Amino acid sequence: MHSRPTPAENGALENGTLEGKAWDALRTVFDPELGIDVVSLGLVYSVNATDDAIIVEMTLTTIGCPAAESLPLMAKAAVRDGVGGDLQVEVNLVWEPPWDPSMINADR
Amino acid sequence: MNSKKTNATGMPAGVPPPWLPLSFFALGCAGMIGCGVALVNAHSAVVTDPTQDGVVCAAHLAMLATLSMGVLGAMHQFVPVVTGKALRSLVLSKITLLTWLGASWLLPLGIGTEHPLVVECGGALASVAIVCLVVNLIPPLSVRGKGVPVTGLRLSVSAFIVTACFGVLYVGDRKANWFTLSGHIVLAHALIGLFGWLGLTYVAVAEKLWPMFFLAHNEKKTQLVRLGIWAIAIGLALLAPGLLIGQQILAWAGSVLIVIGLSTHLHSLSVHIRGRNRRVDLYAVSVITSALWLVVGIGFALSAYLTIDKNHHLGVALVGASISAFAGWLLEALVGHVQKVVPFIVWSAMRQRGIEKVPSGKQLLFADLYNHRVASITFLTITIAIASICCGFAFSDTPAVIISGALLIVSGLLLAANFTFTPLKLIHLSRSVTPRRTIQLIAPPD
Repeated sequence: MHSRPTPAENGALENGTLEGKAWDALRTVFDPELGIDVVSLGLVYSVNATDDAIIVEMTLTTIGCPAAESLPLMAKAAVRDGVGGDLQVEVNLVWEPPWDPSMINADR
Repeated sequence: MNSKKTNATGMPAGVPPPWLPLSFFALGCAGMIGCGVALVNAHSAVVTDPTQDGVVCAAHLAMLATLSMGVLGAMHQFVPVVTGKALRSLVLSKITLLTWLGASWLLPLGIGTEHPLVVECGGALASVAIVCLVVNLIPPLSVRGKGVPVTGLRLSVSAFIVTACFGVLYVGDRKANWFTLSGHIVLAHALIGLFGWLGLTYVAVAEKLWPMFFLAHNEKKTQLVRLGIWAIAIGLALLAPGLLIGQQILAWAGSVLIVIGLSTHLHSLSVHIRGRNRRVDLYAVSVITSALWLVVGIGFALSAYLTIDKNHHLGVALVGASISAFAGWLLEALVGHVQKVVPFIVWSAMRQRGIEKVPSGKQLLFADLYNHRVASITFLTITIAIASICCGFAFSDTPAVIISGALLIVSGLLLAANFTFTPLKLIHLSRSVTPRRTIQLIAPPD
């Protein structure tokens, strides 16, 4: 299993914090093929809030997967809706560490 | 953001518009229906003489109008995605679509109705289609460092060209009688088309799709996959000339290499199945059933080789059964992948139309874009159709041939309807929901 800390371990999921709201919003974004949300899939690596922005680091299951390329856009829209306000939302696509199925944390 | 360039809906910039692959797939369904009609029409010939024109017509409708049409659709979608480089031109894609549509129907119908001019027109259209395809695919297929699947696709396109050259030569021979079109010569052509063009494409593409669809990421088997793809290609380069000039040693060496290549493909499938991180679904069942047809086809081929000298009629019938099983391998795999790939493409098209949720308010998923029960029934009808045509050939059983033809017609209709009506229903619902939302927005709060 991948050692990246979960949101709860990060202490970021307390209700009302921007990070917590963002994580909750990301749970509403589903991989369209698998039907699993991107957080449970282990695609979201981190969520950090600054004074004027929320920065999400996420990956995809496979490089070159065309539908998966929509996920960052969907994630951005969900976080923007979830946190509200005028905060800028940035979703950065990263490939390190590469995703693998052991990162899934859901009942499949 | 270090992602590749994407368009507004998140699709990579090089991906062709959805209508292009979907048109190929829809026409492939029409080809399946046509093949079914041709089989029903030629049912008695299948039993008495599988080399008669009616049977050759059905075989060409299967190879050209169904399998090749579907594989061309997959190529147009898959190659730009995997290589990250767009096709040369959408106009070339359109010409390929239209000319291949003409070729894939005129050639079989010309053969079936014994109209040489129609056959020649079909041959000319096929030549245009293949030239356009190759010119269109050269930029993306020239991209280096994209792995074994792209190597396999380069080889499969080369085999497509060779198959077409054979076809044009045979069309010419129908008029000029340059040589005797014996069974071995016809078989050489069929095998290059089946394994070199259609088979290699599937073997190559599967290595990219299986990890995604089975959630089985395995980076350690590249060498084996490379060996498999090259073994099939080199095997065909030996088997085809071996059949053409009647050199058994060459043909045997080629056959052994092809079997080695196909075995690595089956091994890779078993690795993906064992390493999967998903429950067994219709896709997995389709792919496994498809692999079984490959094994059945090899069994029939071996039986035909052992029988043909003692009982020529039975031997030819078993060759027919073998070719049917190999075509079944590809058809089952194609339909299985279509059940995954079409929702994939339609989903993006729906998002482009602004449909991102189902009427219940949940996010639109691939699973919402087709009826699963109909998909399962389609799988069953196709599987029984393949089993029936194999039995029809092997046991010279006329009812089995008719059943097979009828089921192919049903399967083509079900497949097309399933992927058409569900998305259309969603579009219709979204249209009827939108005005109500507008009314709610302008209505004063209670």
